[in-house]
Amino acid sequence: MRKQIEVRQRLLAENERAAAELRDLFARNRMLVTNLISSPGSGKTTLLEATAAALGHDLRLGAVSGDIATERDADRLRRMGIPASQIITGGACHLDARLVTEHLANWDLAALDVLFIENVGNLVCPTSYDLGEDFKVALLSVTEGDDKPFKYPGIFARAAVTVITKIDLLPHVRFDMDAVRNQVRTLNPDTHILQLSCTTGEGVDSWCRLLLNLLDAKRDSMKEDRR
Amino acid sequence: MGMALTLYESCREEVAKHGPGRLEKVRVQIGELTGIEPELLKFAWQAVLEGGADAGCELSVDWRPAEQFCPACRSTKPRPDSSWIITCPDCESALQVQGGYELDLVEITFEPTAEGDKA
Repeated sequence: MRKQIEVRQRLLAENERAAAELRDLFARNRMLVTNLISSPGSGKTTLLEATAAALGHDLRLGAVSGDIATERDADRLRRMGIPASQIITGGACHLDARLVTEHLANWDLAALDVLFIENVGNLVCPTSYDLGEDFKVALLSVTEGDDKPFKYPGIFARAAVTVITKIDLLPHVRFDMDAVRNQVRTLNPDTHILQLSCTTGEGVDSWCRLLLNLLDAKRDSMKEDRR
Repeated sequence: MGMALTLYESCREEVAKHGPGRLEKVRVQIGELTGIEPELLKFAWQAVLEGGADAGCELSVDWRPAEQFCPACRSTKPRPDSSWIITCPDCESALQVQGGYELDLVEITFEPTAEGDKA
C-alpha cells in the first residue's frame, strides 16, 4: 500500500545545526567572523590582502579560503603575514558548515580577533549555506556589470555588507553606480554599501572602520549578555 | 547536484523510519532567493536516482517567490512579471523583501516493499 507522509523539514537542517555550533564556538572566542561571497575574480583575496596591510598590526586576523582546487589564495594571504589556510572542496561550488568545522579543528581561534571565510567564487550556492558567520559580505566588481544585484538577488538580499570593488576602473567601463546602489537597497534596505579600490587604496579605510565597529559592537553586546 | 543528493539522502532517511520502501513521489518547496532552478534540480534529481531502486521517482517543486512588503501600508505589493519594485507604488516608502529562502522537503510518497512495516 502506498504511503504519503508529511515531512516539513528544512533541507539544510543538518548544515544549520553545524552552523549554530560554529556560531557558539566563535562567540566563546569573542571573535568576529565574516563570510565573503562573490563571483570569481571580483577581488575577495585582494581585499583581504589590503585588509591585512591596513589592520594587520592592530588586529589578529585569520583567513580560510574555499576553492575547488589549488592553494593559491591561502598562499597569497600567508605572504601578507596572516594565518591562512585553504579548504579544497574537491568539486563542490560552496563551503558548508561541516567542512568549516573540520577545517578549524586545528586552529587556535582564541588567538584571533577577526576570521574571514572566503567562500568559493560563486554568487548562487554559497548563499544558502550558513557557516556560523556574524555577517555575509557580497562583493561586486565594476567590471561585472551593473545588473548583478537583481540578477542574483539572493546574496544581495542577505549580505549585511555589499562592497563594490575596482572603482579605479570606473572611467573605463559602463557601470551605473546609482543603479547598483538602488538595486542593493531595494533588496536590502539596511545593508552597508561600500565602494573601494585596492589598487589606489580609495575606500579601504571605510571598510576597515566598519570591521572595527562591528567587532566592538559584537564584544559590547557579549558583555551585556553576561551582566 | 549537491542539493539533489542532500534531498535524496533526506528522503531515504524518512522512508527508513517506516521500514523498507521504494520512493514514488517527492514534493519540495524552493524559494526564489535560493537561486535554485527547479528544472535543473529535477534534472539533477533524475541523475541521482538513475540505476537505483528509486529510479523514476517524480520530484515536484512548489515555487515560492519572494514578496515585497510595505511597512507603511502594511501590505504586500505585487511584483509585475517577477521584477523588483524600487519603492512602494502607493506611498513611495522603501519596501522589505520577505520570504524566498524556502528550501524544504514537504512530503514524500513511497511504496513499502516488505512485510513488517512499522508505520
